[in-house]
Amino acid sequence: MKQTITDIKIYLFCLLNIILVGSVSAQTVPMGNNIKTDTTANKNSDEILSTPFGVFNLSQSTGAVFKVSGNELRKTPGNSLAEALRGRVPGLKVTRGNNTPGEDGGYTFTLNGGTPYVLIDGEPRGLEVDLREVEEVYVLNDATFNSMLGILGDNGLIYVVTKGENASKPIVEANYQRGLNIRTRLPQLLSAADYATAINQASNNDGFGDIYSPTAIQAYRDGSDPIRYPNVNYQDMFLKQSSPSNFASLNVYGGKDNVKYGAFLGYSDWQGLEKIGKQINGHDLTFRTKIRTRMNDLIEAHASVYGKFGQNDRAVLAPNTMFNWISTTPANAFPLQVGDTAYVVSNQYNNNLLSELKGGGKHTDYDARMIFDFGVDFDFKDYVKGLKYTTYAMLRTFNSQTLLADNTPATYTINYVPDVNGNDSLTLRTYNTAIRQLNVSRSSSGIQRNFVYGGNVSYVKTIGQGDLNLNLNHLLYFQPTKASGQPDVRQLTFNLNGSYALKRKYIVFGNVNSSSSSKFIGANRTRFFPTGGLAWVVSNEDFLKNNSSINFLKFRTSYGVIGTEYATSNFLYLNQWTGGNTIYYGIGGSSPANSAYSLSQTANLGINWITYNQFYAGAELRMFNSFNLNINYFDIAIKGQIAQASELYAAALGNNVYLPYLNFTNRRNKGFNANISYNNNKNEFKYYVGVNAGYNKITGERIAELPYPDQYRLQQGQPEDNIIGYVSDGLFTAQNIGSALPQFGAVQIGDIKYKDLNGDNKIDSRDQKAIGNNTPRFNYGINIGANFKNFNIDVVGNGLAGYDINLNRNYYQNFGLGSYFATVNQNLSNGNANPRLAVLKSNNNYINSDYWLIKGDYFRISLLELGYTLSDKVIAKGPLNSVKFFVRGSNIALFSKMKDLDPEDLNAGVSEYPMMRTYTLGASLSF
Amino acid sequence: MKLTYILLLAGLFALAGCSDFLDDQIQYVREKDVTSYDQRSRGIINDIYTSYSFDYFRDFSSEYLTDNGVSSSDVSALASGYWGPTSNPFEYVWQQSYNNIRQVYQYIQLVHDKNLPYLENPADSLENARTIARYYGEAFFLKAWAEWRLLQIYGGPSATGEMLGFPIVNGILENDAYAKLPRNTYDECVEQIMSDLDVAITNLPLVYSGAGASNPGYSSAETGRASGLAAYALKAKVALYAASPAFNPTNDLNKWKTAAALVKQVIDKNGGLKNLQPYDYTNENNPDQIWRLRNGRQNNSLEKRLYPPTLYGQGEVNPSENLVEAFPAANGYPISLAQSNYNAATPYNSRDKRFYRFIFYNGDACYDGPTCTSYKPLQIYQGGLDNFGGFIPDEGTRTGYYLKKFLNNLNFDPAAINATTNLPKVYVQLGLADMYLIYAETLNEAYGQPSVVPAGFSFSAKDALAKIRIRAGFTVDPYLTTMASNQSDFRTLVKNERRLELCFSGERFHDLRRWNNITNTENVNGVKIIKNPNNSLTYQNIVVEKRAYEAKNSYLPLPYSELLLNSNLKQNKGW
Repeated sequence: MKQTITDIKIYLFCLLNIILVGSVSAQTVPMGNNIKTDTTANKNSDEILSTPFGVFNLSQSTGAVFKVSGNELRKTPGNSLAEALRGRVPGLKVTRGNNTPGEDGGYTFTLNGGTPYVLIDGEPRGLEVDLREVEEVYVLNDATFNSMLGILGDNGLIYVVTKGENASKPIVEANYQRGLNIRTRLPQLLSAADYATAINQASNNDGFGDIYSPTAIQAYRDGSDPIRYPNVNYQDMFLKQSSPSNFASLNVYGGKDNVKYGAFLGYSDWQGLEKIGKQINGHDLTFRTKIRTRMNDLIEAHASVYGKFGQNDRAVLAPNTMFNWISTTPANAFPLQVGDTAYVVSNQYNNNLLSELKGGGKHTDYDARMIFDFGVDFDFKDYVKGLKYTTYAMLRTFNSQTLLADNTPATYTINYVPDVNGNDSLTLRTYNTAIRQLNVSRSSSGIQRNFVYGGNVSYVKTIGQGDLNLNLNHLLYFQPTKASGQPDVRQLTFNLNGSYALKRKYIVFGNVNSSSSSKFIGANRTRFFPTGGLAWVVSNEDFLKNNSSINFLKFRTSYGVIGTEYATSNFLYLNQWTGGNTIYYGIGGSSPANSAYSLSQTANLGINWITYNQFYAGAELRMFNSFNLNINYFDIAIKGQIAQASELYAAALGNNVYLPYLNFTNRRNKGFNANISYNNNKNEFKYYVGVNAGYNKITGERIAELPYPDQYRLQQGQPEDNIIGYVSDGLFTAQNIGSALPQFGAVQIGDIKYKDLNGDNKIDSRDQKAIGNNTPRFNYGINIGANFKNFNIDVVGNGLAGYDINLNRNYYQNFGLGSYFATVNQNLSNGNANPRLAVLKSNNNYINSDYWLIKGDYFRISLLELGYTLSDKVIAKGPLNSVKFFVRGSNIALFSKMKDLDPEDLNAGVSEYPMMRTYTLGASLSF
Repeated sequence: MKLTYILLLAGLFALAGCSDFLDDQIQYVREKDVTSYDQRSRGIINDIYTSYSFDYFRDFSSEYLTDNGVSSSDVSALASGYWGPTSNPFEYVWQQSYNNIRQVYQYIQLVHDKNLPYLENPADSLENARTIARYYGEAFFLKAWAEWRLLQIYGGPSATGEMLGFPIVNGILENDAYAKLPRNTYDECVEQIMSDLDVAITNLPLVYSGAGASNPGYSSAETGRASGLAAYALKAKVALYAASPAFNPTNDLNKWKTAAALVKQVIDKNGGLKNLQPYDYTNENNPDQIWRLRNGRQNNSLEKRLYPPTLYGQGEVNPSENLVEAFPAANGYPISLAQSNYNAATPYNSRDKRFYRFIFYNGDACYDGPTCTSYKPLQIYQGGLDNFGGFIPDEGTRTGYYLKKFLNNLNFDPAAINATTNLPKVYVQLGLADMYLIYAETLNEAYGQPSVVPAGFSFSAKDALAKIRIRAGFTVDPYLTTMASNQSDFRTLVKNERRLELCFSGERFHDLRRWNNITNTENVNGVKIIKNPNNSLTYQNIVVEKRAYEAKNSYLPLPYSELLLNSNLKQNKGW
């Protein structure tokens, strides 16, 4: 019988299961006595993290772990855990990309330069959690833990623990917040007169003469004829200053050894900023119930259900489109309405926001997300002391659908025709005929399902003077794709790991990971990746044991290889053809389209895993029971990223489809993160100060690039986030225009001058170099708080530094006869003057150059809480445990070099909802 | 014991369940899906056609490099002295051509050489045999077309003056080998193209005609594919370039004679010197269109982008005043001559018929001629709706004109009821008018006496040019007779006719190069029209864009990146 290595590897998990089952079933004779306490939990300084992939003693771990409690995070208003993590965790950058009420904020997490994976109670289910039910958040930086998740753990893990995991007496928590969301930075728009003036200037600069007469500009200014010379202030007309929101939640949790339970119910509602017409108005309901019950000495069963159901009403016009129209329709484009019913558009601007919001119809989104899990844990202590098997299966399902009545209101253009007296008389000409939908249509989208099956065999034993902790875990991750031409996500991960802690001083950890993914074929389908770690708890050494100043000191280091699959939604090991194009031959309408076929991908059967070779070293120090330091250095070699490396092949080879994808690119990510905190709890006035920071830089160690003769163009060994462009040398003036080198067409006074880097007396693409970088190198957070009597104040600030923002966007680059912004009359926010205003888009001025770069650095006071907790005396008689009243705020203040837009999201306010400043007033009670 | 069974069952279940969990079967098109199905396998050839179809905007961009026109929104940096190996708008031709050549050989290896039938039941069908041969011929025509594009763009002298073409590739090479290819000489490239076209001619019908049942495989349902006549026409065009001054610096007359003989062959194969069909880009069945592609009949994007603002277009292409002035008066005389009776106060009266068909001008109200009312008169005067900043402020003309050639007569007025917004459209790659112009040019250059019929020919250079001018409305043409009296005058006339007839089809830039006339490219002028209080109009010429070319611009640079990778590749002189 012949079986290939590949097949054996594919079946590995299954075989392991069988072996396990076999070994367990073989040992039916009770061994040892019942031992009630966990071996790992019997030392009071230990911090145990019980996960579906193993039980870990964090104080005896080689891992770089950072922990934040839910109570701290909950000082952030609202329900978003992502928002609450801002500035809290060293090395974790949280940025917001979407501010539309009711949408999830479009948060991006970056941990030490990579995107971490989120685990909820150890299960890979995405950020499906409500801030108000969070017990604890662990941020796991290094390979010690990341390797357990295999492919998912390539860039670190954010491990969220929800309430109800621990035994306690029954607790009921209620929380209510009334919120006010105030819009922040909006783009500055031009009034009709200013717009017309700017257009005239541009037009005259290019020799086309005035577009608007002085009479018209005067009329725009004085508003004497708002129909013919309109001046619409779109922001004032359509946007409110603020919108309300409400948050209410109820948490019940508790339990004893045999039964632990948790239940959460959260309600949120929100409204949009729309002043006119159909306004965004939605709400959602989140619940989670979980229960864990011990059925007998052997079996403990647990299950949970999570659900989030949302409904959101809005105009058919998408919120982003609304902002786009507000920003880009000039104030003088058209009067929105003539009389009571006729909506007006112009031939250039054919969208009327008023008509869309009032008559465009209604759009209702229904969103349902549900997650079910069920698991059984076996404690084989009666058979083998310290042996357990935990397992769970999880199903996640997302479903969203939309009810839509998309009406088209009639619009008209205004024409003036001379009447009998020779005076202009206003006539309306149909532009869009009204269409009124009789039926509400239903569309569904965003259906997604995930299935996860995970489990772990753990074995704990004290051997000699040390503790041995062994885990053998497995994880199956399955996410089917709707598109039949695209692969599902199908991953299998197994780990066999062990840690041994000798005398609680010397800790050694090792893990062998086996990862399998359907994205590879043959021998590469399953690969083994090792991880190892060492730690030394110096404070447990005799010479420090009784040291009064050093309470805790630990050095640790780990090295691990984590394999991940490529992101391409295509199997790169396949030769694929495509039948995309059609061509028509023959004569007359009956001639059919002929299909065209061509190769679309050349296979690479040897396509292999991308590996993250992670080295971490760090130290944890606690002194005087008040000063904490946690520092990590990392050096991650990223190997085998996917590229076609077409830069290395002659174009005569043909299109890139003839080049297979290769594991070509190597990069290296180096940096550190650190947290320093000091707290003083001794007096009545208690306070704490914490500062955290992360720094990283990713360089390209092997990249595909042309062998440029000009050294400054080569990017090998350079940061991967370099912005390549031209080096500006001010604007051309009357003095130096005469000596202008040939550069991107005929230049005029006021055009940007560039430096001739290669000295060939000509500016062309060979004069480009790295002019900046677009990823923040540095992120930091500051946490300050104080308690006095029953009052508390907490402030969190977070910031980014060490990167450039490219102003190459419409808001800053005004040209043509279309949309202009107030930036046309100001210097750029980096202090540079606007280059020559022109109708014809300059080939010279809008290419990538450092003229348009601005430091993106900013600091935001992201959170503020002022609280008052009722004293125990007041509530002692009632059933309440604690009562707290508070005012919370997020995005309180922003300090940045860029003054006009929010550097965190440059689309905010321009083509999206603006960033909001949120205040909530609320109370929390617990029984 | 129960537990044991449960666990065993669970384990077995796991084994069965995950045995093929990692084998994700996706639906995708495999090579065998393409090659195993008769008609689909020929899709490899069909695909090559798509890369040459409806390339209007590349043609227009090429025209913006000349004195024929400008884009309404962009100043051409390239035409004003900014041309280099890293900034060559034709750079795409390199990869596109080699890609198509590779695809041709892919077809030959995967389909043709394996004798894959075209029809499922090949035995009883003439169509099967014909179609197999035809696709083979098409493959060679398309290869020759790719090679022609390479030669047209990249042909030129090395630093040492050797006239070079492109690296000839006859097959599929190893990936690394492409970075070692040297350029073949210009003559070797011409020879290669000619021999590829000979294979095409052997395997292709001369033209496609008739119903499918009567003429299987060669019927009019296949019009648009490469034909024998198209291969003959391409031969003539390649020979024309090879004989032209830029590529024939010694003015070897034999090259002109070869070209003349080849273009005569085209006209003979087409049944002699026929009258040209009227301009009609909706006509899919126009015998003048030697090789043309057509669209799916539901496309009006060209009109939407080119129509003047009051016709609800974006007015993107603006022909120049220079081009407008190059159109003769209605009697055939250039407007610079007194015989033309041209009146500068009414510049658009009594002009060449082509002017009315090709150009939207101020006061134009007629789609197809000087006098009719297809639409409201255009207002391309200061303050007029079709002027810059008018009806649709950000869409207007810089020169005072909009391009009408190629456009169908459609109506986009939103207030119109039952407007025509779609018509068929063809895109001509090789046309008969071009052949007549090549005939006139090559005979004049080869034999010198344009009104004399050379030995072995049955009509003169002048006769061929007359066909062009008759369609332009000059049925009585004393000016042609005058100009046909000597070689030099006739050359001037041919060049002007070529400019007018083929304007905005991407020819002029390459014509200027091959004639070594590129440095003479004029600045692009426009007209500024002022409406006086008494409603009379004043016309004022303005410079819209400067043109600055050097002698080296007769040739174009090879791609910079390719030279970095391939040290065997020689750059053209001056770059």
